[in-house]
Amino acid sequence: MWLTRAKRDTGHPGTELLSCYLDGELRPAALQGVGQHLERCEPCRVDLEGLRDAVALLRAAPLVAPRRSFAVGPEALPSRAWWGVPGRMGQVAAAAAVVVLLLAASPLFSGAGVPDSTGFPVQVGMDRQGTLTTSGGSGPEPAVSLEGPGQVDGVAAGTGAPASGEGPSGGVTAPWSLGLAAMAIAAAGLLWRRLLHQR
Amino acid sequence: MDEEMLLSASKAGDAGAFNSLVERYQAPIYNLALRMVGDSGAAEDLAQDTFVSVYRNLHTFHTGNFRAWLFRIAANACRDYLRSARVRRSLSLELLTENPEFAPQSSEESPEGYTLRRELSGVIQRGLDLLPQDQRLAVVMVDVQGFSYEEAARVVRAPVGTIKSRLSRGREAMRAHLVAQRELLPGHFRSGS
Repeated sequence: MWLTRAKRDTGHPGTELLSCYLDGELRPAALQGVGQHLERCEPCRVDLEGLRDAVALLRAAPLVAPRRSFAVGPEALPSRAWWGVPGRMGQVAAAAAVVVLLLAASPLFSGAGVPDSTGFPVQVGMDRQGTLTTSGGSGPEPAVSLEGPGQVDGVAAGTGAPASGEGPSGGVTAPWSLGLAAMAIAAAGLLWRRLLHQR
Repeated sequence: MDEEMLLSASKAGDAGAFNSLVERYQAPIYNLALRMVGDSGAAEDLAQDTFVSVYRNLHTFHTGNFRAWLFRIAANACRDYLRSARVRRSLSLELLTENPEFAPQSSEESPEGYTLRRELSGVIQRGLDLLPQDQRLAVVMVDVQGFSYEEAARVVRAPVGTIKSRLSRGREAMRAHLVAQRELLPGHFRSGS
């Protein structure tokens, strides 16, 4: 029943019905119902003519020719310089990965100990008497004891590892760095894909 | 070469085939963007972004209506632009006057014809600028670009009934705007309003 979509309080077809009528998008029964109503209703005919004029004007809108071509040339294509990741996102991802790799490889970050003046790592710790001790390095004395309990209050200052990378913490340095780098690369890739598919 | 063949060749990396598609669709895509954002510079950028995005994502398009997919990407780009710029402004007649696109199309066009076309574009654009985005998109697709209701529904991924509703409200608002601007319309558009 076409009147179910009409203005029920007035019995006139609403704008949506008139708009669909204009486009011939009504089912036969509704088309007939609206047509019969229009024959006897002057205000609805005026509304329909107004809509018809608006549509005619929109259809007469001049098509504007673009001032340039939008052909996709090499300059518009994404740069594939880094692992096929285009444009700025590729550069950002590459920079992030390099920074993370550098951080992971640094002695401070990897826990390889603080180098002494000769460049060899020095391990700092504390014995059972609360004495601060250092070991490693290449000086004439392999270890130096600093008297005075409580100076560092039982906290091991440093988690150094031998130069070989073996030791309590140095043994996990290489896998940890590689894992971090891999995660950074994966995160950059996922971020790029997400941004790309938002469009 | 038909569209299917151009698509296949484009997916295989043939930039020439892809640019044939660009040539085919660049005017309607640019006009969609122009009517949506009302600014020729922004419309050019949006059209270019659309085609670059399509090129990058061509591997994700398998079957279906390429035109609807292309227009969906363009419509989303316009929505993002309008949302990010928070622009809701009307295109001034001065801007239209300065716009070289509205310069006389040929030496045969009379000064009166040029003035009429420019004013008509201005009146239409100001009316479109007054519409909410979803109604504007429906009106531009169906009445300006000539999409069917079904195809417009595919572009915006909405039911046909939603398109009918948005379109009728947009048309009603345009009708009211045109009645208010009656003196600026060509003579044969003045009588019925």
